Amino acid sequence: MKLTVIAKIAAFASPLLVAGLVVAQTTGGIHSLRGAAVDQELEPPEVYPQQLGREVRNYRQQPPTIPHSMTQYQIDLRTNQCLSCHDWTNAGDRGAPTLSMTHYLDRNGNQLDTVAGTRWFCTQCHVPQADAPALVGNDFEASSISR
Amino acid sequence: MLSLLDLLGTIGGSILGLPGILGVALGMTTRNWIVAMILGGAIGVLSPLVLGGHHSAHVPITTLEYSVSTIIGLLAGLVGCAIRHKGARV
Amino acid sequence: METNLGEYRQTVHYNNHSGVRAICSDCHVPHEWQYKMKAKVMAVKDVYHEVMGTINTSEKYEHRRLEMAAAVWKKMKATDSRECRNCHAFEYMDFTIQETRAAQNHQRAVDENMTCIDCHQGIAHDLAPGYLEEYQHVVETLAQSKLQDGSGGVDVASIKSYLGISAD
Repeated sequence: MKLTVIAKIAAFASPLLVAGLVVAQTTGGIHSLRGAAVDQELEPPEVYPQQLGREVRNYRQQPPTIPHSMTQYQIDLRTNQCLSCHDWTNAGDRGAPTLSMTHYLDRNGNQLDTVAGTRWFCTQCHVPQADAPALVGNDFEASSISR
Repeated sequence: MLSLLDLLGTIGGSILGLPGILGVALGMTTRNWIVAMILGGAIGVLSPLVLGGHHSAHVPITTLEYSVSTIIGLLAGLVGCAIRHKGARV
Repeated sequence: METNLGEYRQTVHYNNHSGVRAICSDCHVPHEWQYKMKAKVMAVKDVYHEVMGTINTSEKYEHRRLEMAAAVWKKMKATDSRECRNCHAFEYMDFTIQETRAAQNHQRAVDENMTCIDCHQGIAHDLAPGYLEEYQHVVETLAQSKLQDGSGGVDVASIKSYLGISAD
């Protein structure tokens, strides 16, 4: 009795499983993250060189963009190499703009002598400037121009 | 610690360099101990002048380096002379 | 010796646009015979610590990173960054095609008798926290030991130029 029940279930289940696999194969399709087959060559992304000279801000609170190359600068848990010129202790000597004093305020509003941990990773806000097309279309208008 | 290593390195460098090698060679040219010492010492004095320095960097040669090279040159000259003496008797 | 090699492989001296690559010995072993032999004798210490496993985990490595970096900085500062200058010399630089910021600072370095490592720390290996203070400390101790030495060594360059045998 028990055996026949199991046999019946199996008889239903196995065609269903096979049918499901077939449907999954034909409809869904698998896309690689690379966007092309392995043997296909992809167009390399365009390289946009650094823009020299300091850019004007597009709106009042825009983080200033970086007018120099910084690909080799170490910014991690141990060291922030940007600070070797831009920290207030070195900026005068190196002729670099000092960090705004808001970067020395911790989240409770205490003034610190070293950069606050919340502001440690420069590239979260500041990016190297390049005349590259926008990655995503938008209709942003700079407030510095429209006014 | 590091300065001891530095001293050892300087001595080793001198032995393996011009004062050591050429010092022994020149020492072997004579049986006279004094001449051997003078020849070895001369090489010791000359070698930092000839080989030291750099085409672009201004590397000062320290007095320690200089004296080590001279002493090693002297000793190498003596060793060379000793080899000559030993060799002559066989 | 694996940690620092891995870090080095991320840097511009290993991966760059021109396809020229420097290897460990280009920066860490002098070209001149006597200094090369000296470096090789002194490398006994490195071999010893490698065998004894002084820096064989990343925790141990991080713990000693600043100390090890300071030892190399000291060597480079004392020799006027000799190994850098086997390839990079102020005489070979065209300041007009450098980035403005770089050209200005290189001119300043020439004027003030600075050396490569004074600014370019951490170009080949990661930096530890507090590296600027440690470098300052290295410079000060070197200056002090030079003062105690008095004579400051023998000026080979002037003797060579007096004798008329200047290497290029």
